[in-house]
Amino acid sequence: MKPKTSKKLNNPTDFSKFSNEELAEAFIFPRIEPKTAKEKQEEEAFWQERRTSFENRTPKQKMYTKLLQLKFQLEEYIGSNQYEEVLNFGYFLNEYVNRQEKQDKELAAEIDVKPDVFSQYLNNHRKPTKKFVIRLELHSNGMIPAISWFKLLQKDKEHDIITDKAIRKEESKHVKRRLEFA
Amino acid sequence: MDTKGIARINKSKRFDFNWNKEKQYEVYKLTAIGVDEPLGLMSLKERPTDYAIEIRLLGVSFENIGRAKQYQRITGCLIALACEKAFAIGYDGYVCLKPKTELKDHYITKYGFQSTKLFLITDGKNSLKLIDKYYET
Repeated sequence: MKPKTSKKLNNPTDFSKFSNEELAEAFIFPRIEPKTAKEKQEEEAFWQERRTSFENRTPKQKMYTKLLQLKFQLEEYIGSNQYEEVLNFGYFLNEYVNRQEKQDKELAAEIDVKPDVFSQYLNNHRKPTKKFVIRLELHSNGMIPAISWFKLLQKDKEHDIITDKAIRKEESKHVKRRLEFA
Repeated sequence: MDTKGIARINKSKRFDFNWNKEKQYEVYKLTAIGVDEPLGLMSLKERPTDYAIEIRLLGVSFENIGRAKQYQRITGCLIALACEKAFAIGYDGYVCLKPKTELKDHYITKYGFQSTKLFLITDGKNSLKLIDKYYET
């Protein structure tokens, strides 16, 4: 049985003209709220089961969820036009370490980076190298690709070049002549 | 989308259903490069206490329904967007919807949803698969 056109909803489409497959490819129909006490009970039982299953994940599963969350937060951020100073390379690297419940030194050792160098990356005092972001990709088993780390660095750089007034002042000494436009 | 945008789209009559009813939820639109009008709309309800995102309503524009549709994969892209949100919030990609009984099997076959008595659900690997297929950035 196909969903019928509802004049009340003022739908322009006559749903009866389409196959179920075509309708499934075009719509997820409005949610029908549970009406009877039994339906409400069944729905509550469904959500209870979901809560129990999520809260009883193993520590390993919890860590995996946190890392996936970080991956998508990072991708969402680098894909947006917004710039937020706090969301720099050091912030995401720090999150990558913390979500694995590791010490900085431990992670540095796992990717063969000196602890003091690693600390400089964490504090944004040194620009990470190509090799470093590749090692991060390999360490996450490809979950967070090197290109995401690279785009994050690029985003920091773009903001810096747009906003750095000091360098403009400094470099203007070296510009002997400027184009003039009417 | 903001409430003004939803009202404008509702007025345009390019979409079925009353989208004004979705103003209290998160409504997303899918557009294509060089196309002004949205191709698809989706209303999501975040359920923080249940660690889930629920798709309340999804629809493509009237010219994209059926065999003569102009764009393929609109619904897949929107479902993948919901999965991406569900990972970014920390719900392990858990997305659910309450389907019309007669359409249930198509959602399962096409998008790999799992069936429970009331809802269809996707999470973890299947949600990652959907993002990879429809929404890779």
